[in-house]
Amino acid sequence: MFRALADPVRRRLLDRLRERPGQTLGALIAGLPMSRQAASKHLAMLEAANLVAVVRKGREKLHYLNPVPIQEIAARWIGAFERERVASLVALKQRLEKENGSET
Amino acid sequence: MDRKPDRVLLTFIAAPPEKAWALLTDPDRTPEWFMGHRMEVGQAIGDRFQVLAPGGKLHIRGEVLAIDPPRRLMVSWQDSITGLPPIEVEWLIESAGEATRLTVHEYHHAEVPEKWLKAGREGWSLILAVMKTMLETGKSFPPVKMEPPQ
Repeated sequence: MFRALADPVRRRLLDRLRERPGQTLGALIAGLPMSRQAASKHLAMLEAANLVAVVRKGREKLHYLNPVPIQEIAARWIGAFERERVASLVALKQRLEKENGSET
Repeated sequence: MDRKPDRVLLTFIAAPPEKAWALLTDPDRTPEWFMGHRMEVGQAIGDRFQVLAPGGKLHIRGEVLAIDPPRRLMVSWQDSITGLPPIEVEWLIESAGEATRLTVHEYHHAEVPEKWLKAGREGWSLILAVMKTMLETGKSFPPVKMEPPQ
């Protein structure tokens, strides 16, 4: 799972699936400088790590972000009590980086 | 269902589908994986579906829309706190080689605010993780409490 998440392109694909669940491969890479072949390889890795769930509707293959493995990791190392503090640190980091004009 | 789900959650479990189905549908065992909630599922389409909070208060009401043991259960799901229109929840239990693939699909009928989406991601993930542990180890553990967002 960590290897699947290590690649910035794959994280970008997961971000896009989180924003819009249930996308086909074509919709997912629209506007991205990426070939279908490359995207399909990345998705296969994400699917093998169970980070992406696939639903077939007719001839379409729809992709979803599966949060379960990530939440399992969070639950393992971050107790419910600490979660709020982590969330506020993440928010602070994002705000500072925005002010700085950079992106994560 | 013809339309596409709005949310999908998925876990693989090293246990047979029949055991996963039994754990999902036995009301006396649901509190262990459902944060103390008792889930009662009717036997046939049109029967009542309901979830009772730990104190016994009705938390989610609905009816059975599809039932095909041990493979598929679909219910309508009207909760008592979000103020959102009812959704449909579908559980799929499929053989995947030696393992079982347990999937949850949600079908929404309105835009769901991010705080409820987040609560759902965390809640379902916890539920699936606990079910997986119970099925694979045969053990149970005390229900984890999770409060809804304010």
